Amino acid sequence: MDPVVGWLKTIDPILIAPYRWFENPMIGWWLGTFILCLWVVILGDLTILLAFRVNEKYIKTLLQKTDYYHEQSLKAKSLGDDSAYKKINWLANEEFGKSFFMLMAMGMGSLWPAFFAVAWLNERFGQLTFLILPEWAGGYHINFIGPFVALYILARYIFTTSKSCLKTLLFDNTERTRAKR
Amino acid sequence: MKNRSFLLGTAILILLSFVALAMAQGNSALTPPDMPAKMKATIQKSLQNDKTAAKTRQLIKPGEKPGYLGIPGAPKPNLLVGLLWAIWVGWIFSSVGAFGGIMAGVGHITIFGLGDYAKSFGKGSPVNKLLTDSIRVSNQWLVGLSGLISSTNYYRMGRLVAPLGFCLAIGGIGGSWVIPEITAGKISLKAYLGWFGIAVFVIGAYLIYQLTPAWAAKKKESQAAADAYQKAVKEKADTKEKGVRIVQGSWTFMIIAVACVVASTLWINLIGSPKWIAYLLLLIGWALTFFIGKIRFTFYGQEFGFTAWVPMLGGIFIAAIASFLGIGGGFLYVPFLTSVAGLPMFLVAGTSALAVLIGMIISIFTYMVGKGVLVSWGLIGAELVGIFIGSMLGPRTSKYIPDKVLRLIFIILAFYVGLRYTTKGFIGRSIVPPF
Repeated sequence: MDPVVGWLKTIDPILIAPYRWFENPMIGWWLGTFILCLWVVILGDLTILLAFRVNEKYIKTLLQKTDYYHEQSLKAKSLGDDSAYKKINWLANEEFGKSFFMLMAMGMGSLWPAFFAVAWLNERFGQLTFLILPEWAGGYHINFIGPFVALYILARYIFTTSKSCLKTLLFDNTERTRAKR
Repeated sequence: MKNRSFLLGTAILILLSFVALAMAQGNSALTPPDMPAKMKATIQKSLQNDKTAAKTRQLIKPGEKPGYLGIPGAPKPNLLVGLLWAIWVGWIFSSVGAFGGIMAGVGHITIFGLGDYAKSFGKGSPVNKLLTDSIRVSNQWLVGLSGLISSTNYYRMGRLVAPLGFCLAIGGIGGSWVIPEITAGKISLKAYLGWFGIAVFVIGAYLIYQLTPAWAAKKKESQAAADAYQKAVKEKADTKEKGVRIVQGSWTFMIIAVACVVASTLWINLIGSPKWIAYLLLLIGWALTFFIGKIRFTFYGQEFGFTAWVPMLGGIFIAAIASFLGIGGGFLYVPFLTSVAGLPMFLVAGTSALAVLIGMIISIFTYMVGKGVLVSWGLIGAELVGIFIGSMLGPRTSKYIPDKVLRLIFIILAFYVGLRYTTKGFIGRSIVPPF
């Protein structure tokens, strides 16, 4: 049994609600899982936003150094100084190492909700299978993970596109209003 | 072929892998049964063997509360402990870097009690081996997610070299499924500890090297070179061209080689037998890289090049090590690409992240689809939360703890962990406390 099951049971009524909006259980499952994926995407994005706000200065400093060494290494390469290129490139990789693991750890913030969602789906729908190929073609079934990943990618795409459109709409409108004044 | 097409192809491969993962888990005719049934089958297998039956009956008591992977009486990893340990891991990632992966592995093996529990079933026990594989795959999830996050970012920045990614993938895909195929269900916790300990020693040795005068001198020399070029005249070549542009390379052989290794992975995991077909497809894919020849490309107006089979061979060994231990992919790809391929840092970063990601997908796919290895999703989720929180703390504490002091702490830790695991693994008992 997954160790988070106890905690997930407390939010189970909220998570299961969209699954019961429709009479048809399959429509309910797809809609409910899509809404779950939206929750996962939104929570992940909010976490990442927090991370970058909190660590903004530190990340900028790290990346500035990395960019600086990268630029100098390419200058050396362009002037045919392979020895200097190797030395500076090595330094760039050393600096990069710090920022890489830092950004990676912060990036975990965008994915943590997905694993809790999978743990909940495993408890609720672990035995559910979907027939994707009829018996005469092999009779392949899939469980919830494949549809969850597909819906997660869809939810992320819709959320990212909506964010850009909203930003353009709001930002453009604000600029136009300022220009009129 | 543009980077976009390559990345789109990779995204489709990733999606198909997950669909096939779900497909395989749902159909017992093709693959091992779903999770609870897999655990039951493993326990049944343990009971059928006289050597392991007694221990199994002693440790698994029906009626006791289910613990890890649903085993009655198994340790139930404490979420708070898991979170706190993961915060420590995240703090290491944001302070020093690579050593965080080791500590994540230590968490799965020791802190959550899973290693000792697996070992208690005794040598040769199928339950021991399944738990060991679960630990390996849990390590891989954390490592591989790092590849996913960074690959996405580097793709957006245009810092991926498609042909290099292909060549690494041709080797890496093979290394990533061959190891699970030949070791899953066969490695006891004891053996895994020993090899994990050796890997920790290697990383510890690298950390020590970073404190030596030779390292300091190399850094000083490189810094001087960088400062000298800051004042240098602008480069002669056209640096407005900032993207990657492929100048020379045989796409035909490359694509056929990738198709062969991907087909070999799908064959071994979804169809299974005869196995020689999978191995043959793999060898054909690897052999084709010797016909691709030299690949040249420009980046920021500068020309770079590499011979296709070099990253292919590197991909095999690095992916095999990462797949066996669950750690080490990124740590090995970067120096390999820098020293062997001579690539600039921007490209090394993105391409190695992609190689780690592809290796992770294939390896996890093989362990979980082909071999039915189980993981605890909620535990991994809690660990991600902890790593994230730890990454917030690192920048704050770095002002108060000098870099050298941090490295010294991790060197001591690396040698302690390395000694403990190596001796526990190879001689059966630890020579450092707790014994």
